[in-house]
Amino acid sequence: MLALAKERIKVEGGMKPKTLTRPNLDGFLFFAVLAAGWESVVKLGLIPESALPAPSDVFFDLVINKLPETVFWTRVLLSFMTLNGGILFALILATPLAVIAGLSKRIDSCLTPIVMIVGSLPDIAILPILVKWVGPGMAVAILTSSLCAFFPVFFSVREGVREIPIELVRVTEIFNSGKADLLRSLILPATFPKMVTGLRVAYDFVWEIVLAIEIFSGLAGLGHLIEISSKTNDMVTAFSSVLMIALMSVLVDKLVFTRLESRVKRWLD
Amino acid sequence: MKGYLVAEHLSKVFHEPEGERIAIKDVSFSIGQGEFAVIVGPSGCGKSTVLRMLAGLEKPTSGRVMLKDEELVHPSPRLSMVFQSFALFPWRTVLQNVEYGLELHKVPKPERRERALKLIKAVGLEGYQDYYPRDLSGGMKQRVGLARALAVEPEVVLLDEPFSAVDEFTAGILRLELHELWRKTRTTFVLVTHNLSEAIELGDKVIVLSKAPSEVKRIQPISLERPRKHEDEEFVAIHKSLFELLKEELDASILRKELASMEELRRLTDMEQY
Repeated sequence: MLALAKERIKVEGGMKPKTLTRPNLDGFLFFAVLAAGWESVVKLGLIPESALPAPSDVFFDLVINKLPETVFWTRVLLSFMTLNGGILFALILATPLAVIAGLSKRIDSCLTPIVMIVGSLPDIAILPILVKWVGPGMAVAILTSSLCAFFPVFFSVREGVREIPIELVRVTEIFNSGKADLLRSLILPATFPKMVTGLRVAYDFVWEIVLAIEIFSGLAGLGHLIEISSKTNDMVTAFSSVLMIALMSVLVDKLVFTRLESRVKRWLD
Repeated sequence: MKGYLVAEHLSKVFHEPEGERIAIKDVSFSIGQGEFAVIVGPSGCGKSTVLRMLAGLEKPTSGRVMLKDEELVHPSPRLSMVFQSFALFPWRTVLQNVEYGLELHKVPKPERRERALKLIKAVGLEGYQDYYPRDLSGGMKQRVGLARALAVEPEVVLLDEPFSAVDEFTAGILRLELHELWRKTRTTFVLVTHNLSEAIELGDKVIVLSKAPSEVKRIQPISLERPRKHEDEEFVAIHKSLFELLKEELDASILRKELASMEELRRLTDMEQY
């Protein structure tokens, strides 16, 4: 019904829909209530602080003790670089392959089954093998995370290419376009929304794998910090590291993905 | 008028899993420079395939297409096309869509913009240049499609059922405007349609194709004065004679129990009420 009404507005008005952005206060309030509950439970001594630190202590630890420290920032940077290195590597590798697979049924039938099989393996299971081959360190971490990001990127771009209507291809042909024009003016913009979705999924996957690698192989990022501080009963540090990861995720989401998506939403049906 | 755009014994065979299918058996016709030609035929007769062969988008199995004594093998910048489904790029604004052909033809940006804006105005979309196709109605989208095709200043404009995806009222207005644009630009237009009234309203000649495997059934010149009125006596007479011609095709195909024909018959009887 709503869709019908929207359609009607489009057809009759031909007007640009205005986007209303209103901060969701309900969500914020709920969050505040939860944090206050947690705070009081800990401060009243119902749960020992050695197991679960109070949110205020975690917050102040991050702001006062961690953020001014260079050592902390090198950890943050290491995790973040591994994460983005993996994503970038996957993007460079998966996009051309996905475009080719999307365009040619023949190549698709060779390529996609292999991608599916490798993709269904848990990346953590492959990690020891890769460590054996490449040696421990950042290289193997980037390799594993790009392996992890490869599949969402590959499948989303491939789907995007397959969904391009034949008539749009004919438009490029009728104006005598070359292969480069086809790629630049049709394939890339047409698959862009799917690529953004794929990257968003990949980002969540890769965060997990990066932290797991750090815990597993001792690479000195944030995951490693959580691991050692938990072992030495420094729960405040463990929690402030987790908070930092959460903040970074939210920041990337707001600054990158939400922006890209709102750009796409301007024209997408 | 001598032959300007000429189809010489075009045929098209599709190789399908069930075997070969002859879509076009033998189609020849000749269109003069600046002429408005219309191709009609029952649905599934391969009208659009013929048009795509004229455009160089589809290679004929045999025969050839000549444009001013030059064989057309690939899409040529001298031809452009308007599509049934509009085929606008959703990520481009109206202006950017109209500029598209000019962009590929490497026209410098200021000139591109100027020509595109002029055409946007000519098709009555002034003020809408920054809209995305999503926010336009079907009729407006097809105006963009028209502007895009005309922006490259082609010698021939091919139109593949351009009004069948818009409502009848809008289609009527668009037909009048298309006629105006044709009159002003003096460009050769080739329009494919299943709508007989549309064909007679716009065409200097109507090329009637038979059902698949298609051949040319008749080439009907129409010399009625423009703009033409549907209720005109002569208009009705031509309509009736072409209708009879198409109906023969349909009767034959009903005997063969072809699927599409019932739908087509319904469409034609609707049409008869004009």
